[in-house]
Formats: sequence, structure tokens, C-alpha cells
Amino acid sequence: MRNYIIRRTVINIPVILFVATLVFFATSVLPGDFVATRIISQNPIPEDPVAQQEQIRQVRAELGLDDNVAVRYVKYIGNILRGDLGTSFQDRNSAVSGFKEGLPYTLQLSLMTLFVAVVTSVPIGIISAIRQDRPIDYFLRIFAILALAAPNFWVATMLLLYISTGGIPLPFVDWTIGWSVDITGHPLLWEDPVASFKLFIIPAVAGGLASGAGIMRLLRSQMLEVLRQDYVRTAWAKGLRERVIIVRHALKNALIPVVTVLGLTIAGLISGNVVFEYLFNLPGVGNRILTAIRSRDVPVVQAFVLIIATFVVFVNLAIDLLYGVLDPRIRFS
Amino acid sequence: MRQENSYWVRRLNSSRLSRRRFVGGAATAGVGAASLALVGCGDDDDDDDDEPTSPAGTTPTQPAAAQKEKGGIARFSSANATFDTFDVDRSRFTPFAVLIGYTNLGFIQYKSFTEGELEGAFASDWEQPDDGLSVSFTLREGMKWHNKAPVNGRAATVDDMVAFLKRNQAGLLADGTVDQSFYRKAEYANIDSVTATDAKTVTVKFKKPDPFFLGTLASGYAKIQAPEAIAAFEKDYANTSAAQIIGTGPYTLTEFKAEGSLSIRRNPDFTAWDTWIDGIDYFPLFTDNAALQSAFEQKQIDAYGPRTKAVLDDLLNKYKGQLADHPSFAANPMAGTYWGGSAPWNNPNLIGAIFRSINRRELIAQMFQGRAALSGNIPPTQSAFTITERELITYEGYREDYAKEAAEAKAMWAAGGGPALGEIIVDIPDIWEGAYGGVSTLIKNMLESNLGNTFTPKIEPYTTINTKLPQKLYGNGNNNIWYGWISDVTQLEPSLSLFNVYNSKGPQFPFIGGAQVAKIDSNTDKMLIETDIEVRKELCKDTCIELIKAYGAGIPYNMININNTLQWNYYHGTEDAAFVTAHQFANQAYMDQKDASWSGRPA
Repeated sequence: MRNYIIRRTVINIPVILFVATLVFFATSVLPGDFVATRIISQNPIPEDPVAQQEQIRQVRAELGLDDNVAVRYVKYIGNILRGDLGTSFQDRNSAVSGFKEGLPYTLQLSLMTLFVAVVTSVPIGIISAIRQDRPIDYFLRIFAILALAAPNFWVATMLLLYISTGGIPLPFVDWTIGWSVDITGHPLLWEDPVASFKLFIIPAVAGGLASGAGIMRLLRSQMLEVLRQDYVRTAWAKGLRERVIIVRHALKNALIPVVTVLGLTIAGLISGNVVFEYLFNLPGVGNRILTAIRSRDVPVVQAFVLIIATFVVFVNLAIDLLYGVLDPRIRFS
Repeated sequence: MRQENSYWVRRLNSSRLSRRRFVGGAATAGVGAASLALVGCGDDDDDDDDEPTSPAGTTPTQPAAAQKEKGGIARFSSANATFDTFDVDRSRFTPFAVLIGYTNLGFIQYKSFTEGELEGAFASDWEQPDDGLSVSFTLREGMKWHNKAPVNGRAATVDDMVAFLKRNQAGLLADGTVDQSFYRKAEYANIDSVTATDAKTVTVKFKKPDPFFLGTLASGYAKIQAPEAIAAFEKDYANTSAAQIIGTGPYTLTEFKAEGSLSIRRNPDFTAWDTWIDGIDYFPLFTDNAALQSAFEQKQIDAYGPRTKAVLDDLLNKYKGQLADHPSFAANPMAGTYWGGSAPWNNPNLIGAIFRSINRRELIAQMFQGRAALSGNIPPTQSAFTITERELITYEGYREDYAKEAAEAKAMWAAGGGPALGEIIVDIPDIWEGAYGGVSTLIKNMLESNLGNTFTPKIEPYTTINTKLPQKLYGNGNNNIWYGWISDVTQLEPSLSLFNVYNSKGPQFPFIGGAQVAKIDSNTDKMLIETDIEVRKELCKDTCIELIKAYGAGIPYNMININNTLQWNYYHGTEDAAFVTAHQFANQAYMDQKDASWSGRPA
């Protein structure tokens, strides 16, 4: 297994460099140069266009943007190999510093979202499979389709506005679900657990239900397939308890494709929480990369994408390793 | 002055604003006076009577003034606030002008934009002889710099004032490098000499009479920085940090993060006038309006500019009596430019037909749900110097009977040989189209339906448009024109910019206007030497009319949108103006903690 890990890691290096190359050239052809946009956007009719062009030239030179693309690319790759991911055009800090600051928010949101996704999808998937075509199965499948169909950003927005500004009235009882949400402070769990939970749980539920619905449907179909296998029938015939058959024999085998999806979901959460971070004013990685793209802060975009790509590549490796744990027949060679 | 000046303010604030006049209603949507960024949108008014109904500076829903009391930390959003540098002499970013308005004093400042009234700041007083050839400033007594290294709270001196003027006039860095980022260098070019005549007085002499110099010194960017701070940070100002902001103002910057986390606190050594609020916290990354709304409704922030009229109306209704709407004009008018010095746009029939085919009321209705105002070449932002809306709508292009405008435009187009021009390209800035999706199609349809030719919108970045401008590619043999936002209005008085753009000797004339009009040349020549502001106002109004008659004379104005800011009644802010009003925060804003709306505001 060690050799397998080393080999995969070595293979991953050119993949990451390829991603770096793609990101570099993609950001190089983005319309709207950072410097020109910054200087021109507030003053499209300058008093002195010649002086304005000279100013743009000065700032471009200062930021190292006056070289041609090929020279900049060589410098960029060279810097990456030395571990230097560049400096932000916007605040002149290391391009990675924003990632470090944003990571705790993104990780917390991702983990809470994943938790909601797993605790809703796994039990529901199992129940739906073992009670196939019963009313509970229909109910849960409709719930899953609803969770998939409703755009999660819309659900999140509605939840935020209702919960934080009056509460959601519950039918038949005189209760409302609502609490104050610390939008301006956006505390982390270790800073203020209660306030943090109140804030993060809303996007976690909105995102988790959507992710969980897909996992639930996949798990249900896998479970149905496994439950029809001969070895499961044998287990029933041996008189094993339902819990043992489901958990030990069926679920473990049904989980392999689910783990793949779960892994990709984790990778997607790290890179794809942009919408929820945007909606809930969380200064996470997604929000920061969005801001960088808008302001054409190219070094930050390049650094963030490269880090996320590296993460995704290694999550995939971890998933592959997990297959062996779930199914000992799988050998790494 | 007061009456004309108040006209647009009253129009903004009056709940009886004419829907008939603005089509679909006008007014509202918001920029907080103390907001670091331009955000939001707003309201609609509905009445037929456009006579003033409420005094300037108030709104119909504004609470009665309470007894001012000290205390409280105001909280605002810093949505989309970015900073180019912390060297104000080289900045053109409004968020920084707001920030430094709290911390640094300029020579003088506007006491009121509405009244056009100046007051002392770093200089306690000033004196200008009638010949307009000099001005003397008296240093305010007992003033100290913030207690930050390397200045460490030393007393302010006249040398600080002299250094400020000389740096802006020279436009040079300490090492002698010419830096094009001294944006306002031209405004100091008329200085002949700057002398500290004694320990309390600075005298500035001009090469020729300069009626605009006091306006320059009162602008949001003319704030004095400590010379030692400039020496220490000049090479590093782009790497913004709280340590770099050292002023003599009523507040100090105590915390700053580039993404928009800012804290300012009362300067204990400031004695020039009373300050009421203890400080301000700005919160970053408010990118989504739902998050802003949620924070505002929970009173985590004190002001909020809804982007849609529906949300504005909903909140006004939901919290009736607890909050007030504060409308103000946005900074950037919406217009375009064309080169009027040669064919095809030197033909009044052709450019007039295009000018009159733009249905400005329809644009206002579609793009802003009515929350914008018609604008001539001097926007209502500079209300004391421009014609009233009532007069504006008597001129071609702005009349209420659009069907008649369209029919006459069609006839002008035919008379000018427009059909033979073939396809006409209309450049639209990408961020303008992004902000108002479909605006390019709207403009295309208006022009095509009236004039018959194919008008092809081309979505372009501002950088492309800006590159085409000096090459005179909008006209001058090209069947091109563009529409979008033009440069923001940063000065209360438009006289100097009128000369720069429209006078045939003006620096911008060779690449923007090109349509030489004798009356405009004559008026703008007079403005440059006229020391009586009342006369300049009349000259400006007359020039505005001439420009409209010349179909924009290179800049066909359309409208200016209106920002609305909702504020809880406990927060009493500053004058609602498009200009930077941060300096007014210190002596005007206060928190009325006894107001009923204060209840529920988190500590």
C-alpha cells in the first residue's frame, strides 16, 4: 500500500501542475485587467488620458504585469515549485493568507453540512430500501426529491430571513422557530459555540439536505441491489437478526459507491460552498475566491484554485484507499 | 442659493414627488451617508404635486430631533469597499475618502452641501481678498496629531499645511519620482507660492484669480496627512494598515483589515468641536442582500440600502415609525460620449435624433423601478448649479410626450441622412449591463424602432471604452456611440469641469466633446475668472441649457439613480448627499438611546 500511495502521489504532481497551467492561462485571458479596471472604472472619462495610461503602465510594472504571458508563466511555475503562490494585488499580502483565514469557516460549514447530509441520508436510505414500496418509502422518496428539486440557495435565503427576522410559525401549535443570527460577528464554534451553531446550522441544513438527498437515493438503490444478493438471502435463512444483516452484510457492501460520492461531496463542499458563504456573510474560502475573481486579483484566484485542486486530488486518493478498508478483496498494486 | 439648492433635496425627500414627471415614480434607494460603499436601491413616490412639502434634510418619516447625547458605537456594512492606497493625495476611491474623513482634517470643509456652506477644519479661519489672487489660512489652535508613531501626538503646525499644498502641487514622491496618481494635481496648478507667514498663518498666492480653490480644499480628498507619516509610509501605502492613518481628526483608525473590517474610535485629544458617537465598526463581506437585510432587521447594523423597491417598501411598512428612508443621488450619472467635431455626429439632425430617441423615462422605469431622476449635463447632484426638473422637461429629449419626441427624431434622422449610415454600434460597459441586465436591448429597441437602422449593442469592458475615447472612435468617421456610467461627481460646483470638458480650450475637449458652441465657450471662459458664486451659478445653469440644446455637446446625459438608505430612528446620521460626508459624522451624528427603536439593538 505504501508503494501505491507514493506512486499515486508522484502521478498527482503533474496533474496539479497541469491545473496550475490551466488556471494561469484562464486567468490571463479574463477580460478586465486588475490595474486598468481599478484605475478606469471610477473615472472612465479621465481629465488626461495620456497621464492615465502612464499611471496604468506604472502600476502594471510595479505588480510585475508588464512582462509577456510566457515570461509570467515561467516565473509563476518557478514560484510554485519554490512554494511561493504569489502576492495579492489587492492588499499586497501573501495570496495564501486569505485562504488560511477563510479555511476555518469553510471547514466548519463543510463538516456541519456533511454531518447533516450523512445523518439524514444514511438512515433514510436504509429505511427506504428495507421498507420498499411501503408508505414510509414513498414519503421519504418524495422528501428526497423535494430536497433535491428546491434550489438550496433559495431554501437558505428563506430560512435565513424567516428564522432571523420573526421566525417560522409551526402549524397547529403556538410556536415559531426563530432565533437571532449573528451575521456581523460570524463566530466560529470555538469562539462562541451557541452563536456559531445558530448561524452555521442554517446553511448546513440547506446544503446538507440537498447533498443528503442525492446520497439517500444512491444508498437506497445500492441497498436494494445488495439485499437481493444470495449471501444476504443466506443470512436471512441462517436466522440472523435484521440489524446484523442490514448493518454488517448489506450496508457495508452498499457503501462503496456511496463513499465515492461522499468523497466528491466533501471536495465539492470545500470548493463549492461559495453560495452559502455568500448568502450568510461567512468570510470563508469560497467568498474570498469570489471576491478575488470580481476584483481580478489573479494571484489569489490562482493560489486558491491550486490549493483546492490539490485537496481534491488527495481526497480522491483517500477514497481509493478507503475502498480497501470497506472491501478487503480490493488490493492496491 | 438656499432655495435653488434645496430644490432637488426637497424633491428627493418629498413624499409627494410626481409620478407623472418621473414615470413610474421616482426616489429612493440607498447609500448611507456613513456607508463606505455604494449599495442599494429604494422607494417610489406617488403624488402629483411637485411643490416642496418638507424642509431640506428631513424626510416625511424622519423622527423629531432628540436631545443629542454622547455614546454608542455605530455599525455599518463595508460591502464592496476596496481601497487603492492609504495615501489620500493619490487615492480616487470613495471608501477611502469616507474613512479619512473621520480621521483627518482638511484645511476647510463643507458644513452643509445643501447650503454650500464652508467651515474651518485644520484651519480655524480663512481670509480671501476680493481680487481672488490670494487666500490666508489661520491654523486651529491646540490641535494635535494622533498618538501613533512616528508622529506621536505632536502639535499640528503651519508647516504641515504648507507641506500638503506643495506635495499636491508638485505631484512628486519624496524621491522625486513623478507619480501620475496625484489625481488632483491640476487643481493646485494655479498656486504661485505657499508661505508660512507666521506660526499661525499660511498664505497662498495664485497666478491668476482662483474662484475654485476653496472648493478644492473642502473636497473629501483634500485631507492633511502628517509629513512624518508620508515619509515613513510613502512606499508602502498600497499595503494598507491602520498604523498609516495619522490625522488630526475627531476619530482614530484603531483596526483595519483589507477585506473591510474597520474600527474607528473617538480621538481623546480632539477638541475642535463636540463629537457624539464613540466610534464606528464596519463589517466586511456583506455581499448578499438577504444577509444585509437580516443584519439590519436584527439591528446588528444601523443603516441598510435595499436593492429593490419591493424590499424597501416592505421594510418601511413592516417597521413603520421605527425607521426612516434617506434618499440621495448616486455619484455616477448615466450618459455616454460621442465625438461631435466631425462626421457623422457633427450633424445636429443625426445626433439630435439619437438623443431624442432615448426614452429616459422608460429607462428609469425599467432599470430602477422609477428610482432615478432625469439629468441634464449638470446633474441634480449639483442642485445649486443646475436647472430644475420642471425646466429640464421643457427641452428636447426630456419632454413628457415621448411619442412626439420619437416622431420628430425620426424626421431629423431622415433629414440628416441617417438611414444611409447603415449599422451603428452602441458600446455598453459589461458591468453596466451586468448591473442592469437587458439595458443594451432596451437602448437598441428604442433606437431601432424610431430610426430604422440596425443598432448593435456591443458589451465591452470599461478599459476598452476608455482606450477608444482618446482615439475619438465614437464618431469621427465611425458609426459608434456608447452609454454607461460616466465619471463620478466629486465636487459640489461644476464650473471647472464644465470648462475642462466643453470649452474648446479645455483639456478634455479634444477627445470627448468636439462640438464647439460659442455660447458655451463664452460662459465657461467667464466662470474661470468670476469670483461671485451667485453669478457662476447662473452661468452654469445657462450653460446646462446650451448643452442640452446641443444634444449633450459630446456627452448625452440620461439620468442619475437615487440611492435609499434605511436608518433606524435611534441613529441620527449626517446630511444625505452624494458627496463624502464623513467629516460631518463627527459633529452631526448621534445615537438616541431613549428612542423606542433602540430596544432590541444588540450590545
